[in-house]
Amino acid sequence: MKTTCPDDGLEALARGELAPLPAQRLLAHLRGCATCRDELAWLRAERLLADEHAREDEPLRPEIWRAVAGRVGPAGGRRAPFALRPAPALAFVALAAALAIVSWRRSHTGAPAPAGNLVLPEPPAASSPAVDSAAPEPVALKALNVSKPVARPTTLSLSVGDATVDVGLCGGSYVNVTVSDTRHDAIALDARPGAGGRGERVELRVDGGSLLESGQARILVPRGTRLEVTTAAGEQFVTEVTAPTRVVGAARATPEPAAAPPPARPLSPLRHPRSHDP
Amino acid sequence: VRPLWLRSWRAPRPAPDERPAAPPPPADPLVEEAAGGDGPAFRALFERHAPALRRFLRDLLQDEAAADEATQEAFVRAHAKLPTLRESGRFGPWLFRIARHVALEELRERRGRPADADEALAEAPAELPSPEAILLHAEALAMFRRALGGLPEERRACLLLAADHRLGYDDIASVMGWSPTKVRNELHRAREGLRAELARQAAEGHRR
Repeated sequence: MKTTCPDDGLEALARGELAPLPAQRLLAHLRGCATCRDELAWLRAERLLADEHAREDEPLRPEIWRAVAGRVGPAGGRRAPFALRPAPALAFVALAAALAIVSWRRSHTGAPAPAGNLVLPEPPAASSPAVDSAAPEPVALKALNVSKPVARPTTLSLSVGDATVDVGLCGGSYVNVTVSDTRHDAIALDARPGAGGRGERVELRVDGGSLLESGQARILVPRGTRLEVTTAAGEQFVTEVTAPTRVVGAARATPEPAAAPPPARPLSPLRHPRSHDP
Repeated sequence: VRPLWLRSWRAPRPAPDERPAAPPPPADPLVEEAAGGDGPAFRALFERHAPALRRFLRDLLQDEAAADEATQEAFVRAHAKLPTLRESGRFGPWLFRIARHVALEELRERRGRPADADEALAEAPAELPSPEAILLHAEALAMFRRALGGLPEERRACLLLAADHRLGYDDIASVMGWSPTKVRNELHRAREGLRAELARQAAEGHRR
């Protein structure tokens, strides 16, 4: 390359990224400069080979993401911000889901929640076993299909004010909790099958509470209540409700799938019940 | 010393390092969401960048399994450091920089120290074949990959970032921790080495 040759632009020209005017100037130079023509030909060959190199690349193995997710937390979510920022919203609604069922069971005859194609009506407010009239904001809660083995993708939906929580239970394989509202960034809790493979079991637990089951209730979620989400793989996420709030809950069993469900383990009851009376 | 009229005839071009920095790229909302703790956003970033990052690591490490491990490690580190990333629009180069550090650690473990820059330079043949002749070669891609693998790590990384991952000089400089001038020089030498190795392989193929 001669000293009068442009010291840049050839690469951009080879990539087809040079603006029209500089490209015209450079092409005019190339007509009289064999060295630059040769360099441009090499750059184009390099680009073609690099393109082919990338095109022939093997697809990414899914195990890489699983390993990353297993190390950084569920679905790449950040544990610390989860616990510090929008976590309370997730905490008290997910906790509320559990406590709602506990309260419902107390108000019921004690029989286990009915399974099958049953949709329970909303209870009247007066029947609420635990309502804190001094609590700041009532919170609506809906829980779906959390009392039975998860045989197909389903969702536990919860809402708090303008926030929405979706707990996706997918064929016993993972749970996905997402909180989004207008004030906070969306956060997610996604516990996927770990190294143990498929069939992961998920438990939603609260202090002194019980496993989520079908039912409905109005309950109080007291300040300081801890929510634990534990997956069968041993991943555990703990957060805390920072303000007392009321939760109105309704849990419904979803219809059974028409086809035979894939094998899935049932959600098991709490292993460490602690006294908690809202 | 040139007379004043001659000096003013043509304003001197600033050296590459003195040129005004390019305006920062626009913010990437996905990166910002991931930095805020949004898991799905981080996963989307993984889906977007992991294939190229793994290819970069595989080309540096020359080992499929090590590339998988290094990709995993790079994303775990990126996840931890994401809140410290100041310009979300520069996530790509930032991620490549992390990945290269991971690769260097792996290479140091393997051989104790990184190879000297000029150790692996191919002997340049007296006359290079034309690039068209290389492209028409039946094993052009395999030759290209072998030639890349024969370059010293720094030059290979630099060339891969430019040719395969289409990073500009400034971004390559940020990945490699070099000045843009050094990027230009090293890229030039990497290309010389690559072409010499391609020529050597093509000549060997003809002799066979």
